[in-house]
Amino acid sequence: MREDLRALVAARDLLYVWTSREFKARYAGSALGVAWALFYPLSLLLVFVAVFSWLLHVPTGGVAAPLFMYCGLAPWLFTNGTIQNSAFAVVANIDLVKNGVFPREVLPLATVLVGFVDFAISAVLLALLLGYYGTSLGAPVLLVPLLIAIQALLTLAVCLFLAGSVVLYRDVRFLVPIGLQFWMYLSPVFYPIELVPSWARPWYMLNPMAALLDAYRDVLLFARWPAWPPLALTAGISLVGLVVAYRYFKRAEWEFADRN
Amino acid sequence: MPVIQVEGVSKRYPLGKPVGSLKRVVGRWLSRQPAEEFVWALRDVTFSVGAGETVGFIGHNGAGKSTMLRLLAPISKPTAGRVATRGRIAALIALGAGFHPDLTGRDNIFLNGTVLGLRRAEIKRRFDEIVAFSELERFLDTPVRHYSSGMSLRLGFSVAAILTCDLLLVDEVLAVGDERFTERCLTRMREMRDAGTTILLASHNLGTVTGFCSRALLFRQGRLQADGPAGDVVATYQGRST
Repeated sequence: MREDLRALVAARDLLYVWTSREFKARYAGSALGVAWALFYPLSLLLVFVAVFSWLLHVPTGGVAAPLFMYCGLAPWLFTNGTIQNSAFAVVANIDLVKNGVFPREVLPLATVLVGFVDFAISAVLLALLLGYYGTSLGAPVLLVPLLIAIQALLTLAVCLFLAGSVVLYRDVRFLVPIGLQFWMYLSPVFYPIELVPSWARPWYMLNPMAALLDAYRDVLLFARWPAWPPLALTAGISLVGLVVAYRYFKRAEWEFADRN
Repeated sequence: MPVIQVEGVSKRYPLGKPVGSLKRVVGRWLSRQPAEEFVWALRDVTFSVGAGETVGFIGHNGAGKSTMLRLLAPISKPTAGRVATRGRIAALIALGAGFHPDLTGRDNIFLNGTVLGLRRAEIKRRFDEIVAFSELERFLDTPVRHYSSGMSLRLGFSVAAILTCDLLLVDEVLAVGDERFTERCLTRMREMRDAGTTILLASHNLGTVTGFCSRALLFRQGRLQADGPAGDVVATYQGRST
């Protein structure tokens, strides 16, 4: 694996060029460009608030429903959107893979990096909401970069695993959207984890996204430190997951050209 | 010490359905059958190439020339046997396949160059040289999807032309260029050869092979049929096909 990482570092210029390509492909050529990156989460938020707050009266811990839900939605959309794009990063560029010699993980990695741009744009909306509702932030907000880092590792792990298996097994591409749906409903995107019955909570918290989204709310909405054990578990799962996924990807990549 | 050492190399590809499906994987697992059909692209191939040699790969379509280049690149791994190479390798397997159609010629120069392992700074520094070689100054800001195949080829080779490498693998990419451009590519490749680069050239153009290569390997149905001075091997090949 050390050798793989060295090759990846040597290919950093390609990563740079490919990432800016992905960036241009995403934002150039559409009339509203970056505005879409704001409009999409905003429209989802509207639906979420209408259905889950106004209609179903999901409790939001004393926080205004739009703020509460968006605090879960913004990070979730980063993972969700990145996986959607990254899972197909290799198949979509199979000609490049069949005819060029370079570390293949550059392709999914670039989509993850571009996902950060969407994330940053949607974070602006979160900042606006925090300001609008006059939320007072405390020291715990300093944890946000750490939470983002853990989430990025987790997301990258899933992306590498899917990018590799989508090339080798055609069916996986149909499983990706289904899996993302399940994952969203099993994560506290638009409800607080307190709604999960306490007997199920230990199982529920095995989902690394649960501890992450809960921690985002703790530090941003309630100015309190998150529960450390689940967060540590999530960091561990993400890190181990990334190593396992990278190894899988590097082993699978030799079949990419052969099977297409 | 040889630059390339290929020992008893065989390569097979799964036949028929190009991509695995879960159904087949599960089905195979349930029935405990290794029931996948294969085609052998290479069978027990052994040869070695010394530094500075120019070697042509000839043979009919499907004989194994491209597969051999892919194993050397390396884009895939042999099913059996051993492939060892030394030094920095540049593979021109399909010029322009690495291009992105939506990007301009300019952006694609950077994309293709970094795929070939060039640094961005180096591409920037020698950008004018690349463009001059391609003679595509007027089309630099045109998306490559509007290029003709000849133009893509020119852009692709021009990026490769500034490479310094120990081993250059060229697969049939000169075929779509006009005579004048092909001649310039060959001139550039001679310069690289004189600078000590080992060059492998897979081609159906026997004239190019005899003109450029000192040695040739003849592939037939995945096996290495002849290996020797380019003129002799080409004659063998022609004698067989006529």
